Amino acid sequence: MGGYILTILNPDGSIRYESPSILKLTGMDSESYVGKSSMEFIHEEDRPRIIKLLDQMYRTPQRFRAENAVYRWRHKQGHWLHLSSAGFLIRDKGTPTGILIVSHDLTPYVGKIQDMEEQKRLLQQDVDRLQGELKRVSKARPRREDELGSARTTAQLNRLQRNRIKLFDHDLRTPLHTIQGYVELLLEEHEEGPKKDDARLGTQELLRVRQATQQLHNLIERLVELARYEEEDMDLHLEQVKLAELCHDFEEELGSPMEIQWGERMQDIEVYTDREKLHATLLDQAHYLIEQGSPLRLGIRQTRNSVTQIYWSIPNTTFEDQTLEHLSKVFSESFTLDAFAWGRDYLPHYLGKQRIKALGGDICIRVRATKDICWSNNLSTYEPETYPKAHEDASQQSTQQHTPDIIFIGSDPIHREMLLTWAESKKLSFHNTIQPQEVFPLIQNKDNESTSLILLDVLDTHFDGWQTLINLSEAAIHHNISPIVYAALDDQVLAHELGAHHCINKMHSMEEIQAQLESLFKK
Amino acid sequence: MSSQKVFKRLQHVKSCDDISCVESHADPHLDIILKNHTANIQYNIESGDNSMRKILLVEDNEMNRDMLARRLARREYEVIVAVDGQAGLDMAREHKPDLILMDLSLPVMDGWTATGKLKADETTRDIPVIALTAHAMTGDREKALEAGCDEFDTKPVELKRLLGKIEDLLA
Repeated sequence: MGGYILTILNPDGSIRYESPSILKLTGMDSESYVGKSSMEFIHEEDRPRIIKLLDQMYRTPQRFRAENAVYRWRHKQGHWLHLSSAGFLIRDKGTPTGILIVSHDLTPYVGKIQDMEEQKRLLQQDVDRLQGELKRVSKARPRREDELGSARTTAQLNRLQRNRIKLFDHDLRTPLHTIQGYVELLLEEHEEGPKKDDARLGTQELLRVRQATQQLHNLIERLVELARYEEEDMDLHLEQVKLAELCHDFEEELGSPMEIQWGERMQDIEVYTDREKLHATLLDQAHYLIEQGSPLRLGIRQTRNSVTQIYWSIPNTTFEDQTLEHLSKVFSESFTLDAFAWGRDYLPHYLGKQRIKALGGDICIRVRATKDICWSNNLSTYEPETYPKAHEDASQQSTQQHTPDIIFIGSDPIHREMLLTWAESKKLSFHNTIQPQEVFPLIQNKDNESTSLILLDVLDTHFDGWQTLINLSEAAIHHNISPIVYAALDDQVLAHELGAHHCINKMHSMEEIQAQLESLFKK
Repeated sequence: MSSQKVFKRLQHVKSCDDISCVESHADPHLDIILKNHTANIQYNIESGDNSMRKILLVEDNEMNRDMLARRLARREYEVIVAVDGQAGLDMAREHKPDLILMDLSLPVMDGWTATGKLKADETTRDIPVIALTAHAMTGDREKALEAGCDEFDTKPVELKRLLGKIEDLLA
């Protein structure tokens, strides 16, 4: 980079003196410059600026001044050097006689600056490109998420459909196998005569064929009913039904001892409903419960708001936790389409739920450890003449899905029972599930006038509790819900960070938990 | 009483009188096992033919168990039956049948697991197993063969086809 270069210019711009150090910088010795015009070596683009500057210096000789300028000076080999110069007017008795110019070579710096500017330009290009890409992606993202969501839903429906076909295929083949086998057995005997050692074939085998045929018939009927329901074509044959008559034959049909529990006046109670559908639903529920235990009790009662409850219960049960957990799973899942993934036994429950819904009612199930299992069908007791409208209203309400006051996402039967009992005592509606995705439609349907407490067992192994908490916290921003988390002490900080409004320690006594809930609900 | 113990008791049953005596037992679970086992013993005693091939039929559906056992018995097979995967496993170890017809959707232990255990046991691994199931969708056959089954057939059974498979495996 060298040192400074001294140049003296005459008033006409020619070079009077050039310091020897210029040789190293420009490749020309100092003598070669003397007498030549300085403008000869300055880049033509810079010349007007430099001439103007020199001119200004001469015009105001009384002022001592130094002018700084950066300009391009030609190297001997033709390329350009960048010089920074300061000019000082030389005066003789006040008259300007020349200009002393002290110059410094900036070429290496300028090169670096140019490199940096080029890099900056390239970086800016990249930034612009990425910003453009980001804008494009941001615009496309919602569409892609929609497409992805739609593809996921389709895949899920396809999987569900496949599972369903698989189960139905299996269930249809089983009785068909029986029928075909016995018929062939009977034909073989008819054609070949009985084998020496074989038992005589006859009525017993025909009864079995009939039994299997009945199973097959029931299954086909249910499949048709399911298809009708899914086509929104469930036909109802409404009539005035005396419940005493409806229930009279159950004991014989079930082939199991049962107790009917109703008050004196209840014997005459009538509901305007579809006799066949109600009968089939009650029978399916009874068959399922008989498998769980006995004796079975059938109860009928009327509650407020013109609701008639027909309920099955198994009293004084002492089921093990594992059995309770299984029952709870069946109850909570059997009313969803997903239930078909779990097995054929869900079909009657699912259909039962749809039938009761179509009849303007609802089903509720309660499992209380060491007390009872109660499967209750709540039907509206409307007068016949008002039924159709009332039925429409009730169906509409039913499809709108009222948001429960208390929602428990968890499988712990003891906590479920405690929460249910507490909710009942406060006349609050209660919903329990181990499928968090069920809860979000309930939240979305909810009006913002009332608050729903959502209790989440964050460590429940049936679902991802922490992810559920994150999702609930997001939902809480838009809807009037309050996520409360059952969490161990160590997890409570994290739970709050993820958006829990309150944490409850599962190890606390039930009384303490109830008191906390009461306080929260008041708030 | 475990099925194992019941079967041991039945080793001493030598006549039809003994069978009816055992059948009258009050325990419902025992009744099921005895009825199943009775069918086996009945075929065994009345045939009196020790050269018959012994087939273990593992099937939980009572009607289908009865029907198929009788159809096979009419074709000179000795048939013993089990009602679930675990009972099938126990009987296979105890009676060493020539072939096993295994339903797959079974209580207590499913047919896939039971077959896997049979094939893992040195004493039973050579017994051919035919999966006999109402699972007839794509992939079910592969799943059964992966579990260790030697053959696969679907319900409703076409007996001629099933007998062909049985004979191929017994040959």
